[in-house]
Parts: sequence; structure tokens; C-alpha cells
Amino acid sequence: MTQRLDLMDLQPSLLQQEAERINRERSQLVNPLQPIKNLVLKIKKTKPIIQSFQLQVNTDLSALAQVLFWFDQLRQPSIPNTIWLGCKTALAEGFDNAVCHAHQQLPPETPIDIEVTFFTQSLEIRIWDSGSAFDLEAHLQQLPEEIDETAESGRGVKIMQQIADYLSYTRTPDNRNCLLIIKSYSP
Amino acid sequence: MNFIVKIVHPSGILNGVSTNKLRREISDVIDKGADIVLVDFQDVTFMNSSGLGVLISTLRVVQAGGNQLFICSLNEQVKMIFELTKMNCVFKTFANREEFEQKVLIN
Repeated sequence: MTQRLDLMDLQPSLLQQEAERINRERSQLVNPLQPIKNLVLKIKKTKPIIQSFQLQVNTDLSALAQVLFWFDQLRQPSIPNTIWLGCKTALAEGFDNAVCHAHQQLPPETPIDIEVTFFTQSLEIRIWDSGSAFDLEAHLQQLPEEIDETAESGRGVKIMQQIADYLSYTRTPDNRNCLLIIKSYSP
Repeated sequence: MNFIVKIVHPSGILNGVSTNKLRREISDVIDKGADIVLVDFQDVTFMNSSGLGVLISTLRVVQAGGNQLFICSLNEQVKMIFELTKMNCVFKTFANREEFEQKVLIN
């Protein structure tokens, strides 16, 4: 490290050298901080998770009551009622689809996993099923603009699309499908 | 001419299964002579699209038989799903039984 300077050594050139050396040391210390600062900024920008909840049910239409009851217990006070009812409706449609479509050929013991995650201004609902791959985007594309009013089925997906701010149905690495519904709100 | 009005009063969650039960109840009531059926949703807590599908087919059968079906007392969630699917154009709904009586029976 440094040696103490004696008063005798206080010549301008020496001081200059010393100043430069200190500056170099300082740079060496400060420069590695920049990536850390960037990381901190990045972390601040990502949404903080408030809480995440999971439920597993069987492939059973009558489990809807249990699913809705469970969902209602999770309600955060900051969420406006209309938003909550919309999410509940979308969740019910997603669940129905898992039972009636994804798991159509599968036994009733086949589990359906549901996860609800709350963020400060949004909530995310995920439903995992063990059905075969299904291209939701393509399905949505080929749906008629207006569903025939008198049609007796096929509204579920359209309802989810109308309610959700973001909707996706993707294949997971463990060979399942994950339905993701995202809804934002202003508290 | 006198119309026979019967009220049907389902409760709880109306999904495909429970609405099928409701459909049978409505069909029974019409078989027994009702001309007008009012489905009172006062105690219905939730409805999904499967339930709606069954309700629509019930409406068509009722109308095909020359009878009428009305609904009343929908809660916010049921109103929401009706609006999203434009069912508010297909069904005649009333705020409550009193409104139904006022507007349908008295005329």
C-alpha cells in the first residue's frame, strides 16, 4: 500500500504522482460496481411478487365449486370487483377446458394444477393439464369474429380472450400444457 | 286468455351438469302445463359457458314448443358472462320478480 509521506517529500511532482495513483486505485474499485448497479436497477424494475398459491384437483367437472371457493379465499382487497369476477370467470373456463378437452381421453384421477400469482398491479393464473399439444393461437385465429348467438358451445376460449390482457397456451418441458391468463388492474 | 306462469329457482353454480338438471326441471314444468317459465337466478352464485350453452338450447326448445322463458335476478358475474357472450340480446332478463310481474304479467 502507500507509505506515509513526510513533509519533506511534499514536492508538487510527488503530490501529482500520488494524486494520479489514488485516482487509478479509485477507478479500479469503482468500475466493477457498474454492472452491479445495472443489476440493481433491473431488479427494481421487475415486478415484485406478492404471493403465489397452488391447488391441485382431479379431472372432475364438479371440482369447479372447490376451485372457485379456493380462488375467492385468495382475493386481495386492492383488486376491483369487476376484475376479480372476470378472472374468476376466465379461471372457470380454463378449468372447464382442461377437464372437457385436454383430459377428454384421460382418467378422472389425472391431476389439474392451478396456480394464482399476485403482483402489485396484476394477477396471473396458470392451469396445467396433461393433454396433447394444442395450438390455441391457431384456434383463436379461425374462430369467427362474432360467435353465433344461438350456438350452444365453444364460447369458453373466446370468453377468456375477451377478459384476459394476455392469454397463452404453451407446451412445458415435462410434456404438459400450461394455460396462462394475465390480468392487470389499477388498485 | 290465461297464461300459466311457473317459477323455477336454481341455486349454486350453473355449469353444464347443473344446468342440465335445470333444463329437466323446466321441461317438467312445461309438461305440466306452464306457458311461461321464469327462471329466478337469485340464488345462482356463478355461471360458466357450458351452463350458458345448455340454457340456450333450453330456450330454443321452450320457444319451439310455443312457450316462453324469462330470467331474473342475475348477479354481477352472471350479468358479466351474459354481456360478454351477447346473451343479453337472446334472453329477456328482469332485475327481479317484481319487474317481471310488472312488465310481463300485467300486460
